[in-house]
Amino acid sequence: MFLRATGATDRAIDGLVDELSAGFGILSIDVPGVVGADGSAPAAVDEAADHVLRGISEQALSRWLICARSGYGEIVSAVVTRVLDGTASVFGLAGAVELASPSPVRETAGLPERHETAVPRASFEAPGAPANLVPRGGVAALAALIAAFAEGAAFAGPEVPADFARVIASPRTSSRTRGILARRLLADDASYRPTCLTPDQLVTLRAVADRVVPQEGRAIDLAARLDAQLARGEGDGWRSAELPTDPEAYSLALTALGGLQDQTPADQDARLQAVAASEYSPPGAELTAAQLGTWFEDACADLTRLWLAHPASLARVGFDGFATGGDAPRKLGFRVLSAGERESWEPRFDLLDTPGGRA
Amino acid sequence: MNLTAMRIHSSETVVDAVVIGTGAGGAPIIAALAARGLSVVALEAGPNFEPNGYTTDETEAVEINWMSERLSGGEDPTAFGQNNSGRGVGGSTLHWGAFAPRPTRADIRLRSDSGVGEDWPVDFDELTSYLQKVERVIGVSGPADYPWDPSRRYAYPATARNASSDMMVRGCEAIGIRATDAPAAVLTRDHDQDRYGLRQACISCGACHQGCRTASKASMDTTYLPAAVSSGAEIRAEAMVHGFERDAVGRITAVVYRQNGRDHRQRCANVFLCAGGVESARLLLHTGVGNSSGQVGRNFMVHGATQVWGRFDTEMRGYRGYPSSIISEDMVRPAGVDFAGGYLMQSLGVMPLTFATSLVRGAGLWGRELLEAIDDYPFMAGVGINAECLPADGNRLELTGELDEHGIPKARISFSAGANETAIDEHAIATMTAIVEAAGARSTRVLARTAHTVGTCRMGTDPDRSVVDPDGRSHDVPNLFVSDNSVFPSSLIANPAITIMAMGLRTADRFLAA
Repeated sequence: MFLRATGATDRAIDGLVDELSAGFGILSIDVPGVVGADGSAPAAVDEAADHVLRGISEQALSRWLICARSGYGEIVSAVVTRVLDGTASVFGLAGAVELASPSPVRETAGLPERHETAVPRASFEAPGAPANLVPRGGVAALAALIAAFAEGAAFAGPEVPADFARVIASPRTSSRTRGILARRLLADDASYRPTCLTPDQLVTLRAVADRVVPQEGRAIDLAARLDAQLARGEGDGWRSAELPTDPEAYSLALTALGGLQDQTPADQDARLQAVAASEYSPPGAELTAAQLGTWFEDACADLTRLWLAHPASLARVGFDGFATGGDAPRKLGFRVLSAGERESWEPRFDLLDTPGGRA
Repeated sequence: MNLTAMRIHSSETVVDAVVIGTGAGGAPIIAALAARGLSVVALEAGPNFEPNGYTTDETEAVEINWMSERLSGGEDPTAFGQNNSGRGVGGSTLHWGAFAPRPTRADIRLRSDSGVGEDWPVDFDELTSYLQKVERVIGVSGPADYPWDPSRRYAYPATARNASSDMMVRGCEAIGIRATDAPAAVLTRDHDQDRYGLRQACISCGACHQGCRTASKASMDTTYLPAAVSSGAEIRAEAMVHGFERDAVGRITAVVYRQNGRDHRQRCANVFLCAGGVESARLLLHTGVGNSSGQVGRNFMVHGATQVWGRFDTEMRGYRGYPSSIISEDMVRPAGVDFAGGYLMQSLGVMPLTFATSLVRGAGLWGRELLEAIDDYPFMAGVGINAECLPADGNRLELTGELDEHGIPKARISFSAGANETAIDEHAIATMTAIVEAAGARSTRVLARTAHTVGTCRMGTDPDRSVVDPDGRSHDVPNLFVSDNSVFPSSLIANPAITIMAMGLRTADRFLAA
């Protein structure tokens, strides 16, 4: 999704759109009267953001990047804020790309400050708009950088099916709940640095997470989310009296499981089975086999909840119970409650044919 | 709730009563005392909420749960957090399931009938009259004919049945167990609640445990507390009580609490401790008040809450609709068994994270097996119980050396199921499995669970074996009353909330009559 100034010529962006349209759907939104590279007058930022959000809403986008020259920074910031707090009737923001003007005058009005939940973002130098002759090779290189950012960072997590995204964006979902889901959708930072665990422990926890909640395709970094949760001091309200505090238990248990990441999946499963059965006590471990078993149940619960809370996971199990609120005084609940029946507003979804289903 | 026009009391004024906790125990007392013109200050540890602000999102909805850490021990550690106590103006009624069965006559005379457990020093007909008062105020829906009590009448038509309900009814019919629409403190018609305003008819959103956004579900902040505030009571939110000041003869003269990082004291003539089965006992142990018997924290009980889920061919999606709209009381005292007490059964709807957590903690699943079980979620429908629990010596609440964010020692709660609990559980699993299979499940899964926190400040006539007397007054401190699930002498098999409210009204009346 590109923001551009109404009536202005921007050959660089034209070229970029051409290049990117092979791999991406492109929505160009003309923003009237913004401060463009041509120096036109600024419009009220909120109005411009409204305009942009309407454009996104009309297209019912389900996963998108917002790309704009750095002069649009305030508008981008307003759009991102409203998506992440849920007040905008859109869903699927995955990242923001700033097209910075070439030096020497480097734009500083920039992308939004990192929210508590960081929006994947990138800033690339782009040829100036007034340039009559934009070098084709330069634009292609820029398009490749944007595509790499999308694939490698912004679109790294699981995608929410379009019909679920539509229902999340709809007035049936309250703005608060929409905001929660929008923040949770954002892909994890591949270079996440743990704040509670050590880097080695994080790697081991990723190996545990891969076996406890195996994910196919684009994945959530459950271990990173769990580290952040531990760092925020968020527990589940209780812990086993046999275990030390959550951060300490994770630290000791993951140290005891060190090297798990180097094993084959089959060996990892065997080791975790021993842990779950309270039969694993490696030499030097500071937790007993029983404590490791108890910790493992906690870890399984934490990882599972983090995974299932993601809107793509909720969609996978056909859960649309988030869309029963809305912000109006009269909420919209379910009218049809019987087995095998759905309501017309509900997302269309196919459920997985599980082994339980075939049994 | 709206506290803007509330009367404010000076902390130096000796108010007639300080009530600690604004949940099912405290709220009816606050309302009853304020209605009689007494000056009342209520201290609530949690924040004040507006129903419209709740979210169905299970992760974020923990804002209405007591998430400050507790330590859980014993052979069968009980889960707290989302599973149990609440926090906020309205207490646990913000997240409760609103399942509103009444205790039976047999419930409160367990020892007389079975030789084990405890009797309640409470007259059953008196308790019933208070339950009826509670039901009138909070609004309870239910069936036109209640098979186990033909005299029972409910003011509102039953909640809508969902796929789990239809399943349970079908299964029960097939094997000859009576089941009907459950009593639920959920309005099925719009109602203008006195001193609160519009409470809307239930919209079947299924998110009772995340907080009711339409105020259809009764909670204290939409029923008793608005009435209390309108009668002049003051509610101070985010006020964590951690101490008492006492005079030379041991009477409490002021309650000390922390609010916004500062300690405050409220002078008072009487104290009503209504902080729930864990926090009431924790506060008494921390302050050393009211425990000459050594009974505070003992007799901790939880309800067996095992679930049996069936996997069906059709989509059930039991998260739609009021979650527990069917009840059976046929196993209140089952025939031909060798255990004391019995259990209630209810149909189950469940939100996804709660279900997945039960698969992990209640069935020990992880990996592929876990994901396959989670993928079955939309096809699952279940039945659950609320089962009798006997007091046992090792099951108790104690203080640890670890401090919470307020500097109060964290509680360690130990629980191990005894032979009676295990026998009930086995009977219930067999019964529920038969129901779910008769309803057409192709496979079944048992999820072990416990719920509720009962019995840590037992009510009784013997000061050596109990903490409060039959009026709810501390045996040791004449101006201290305790009223919440901690005073329950036996666990009951009825889910506790409306009984807690009824006992609150009774405690208030006993105090006023004294």
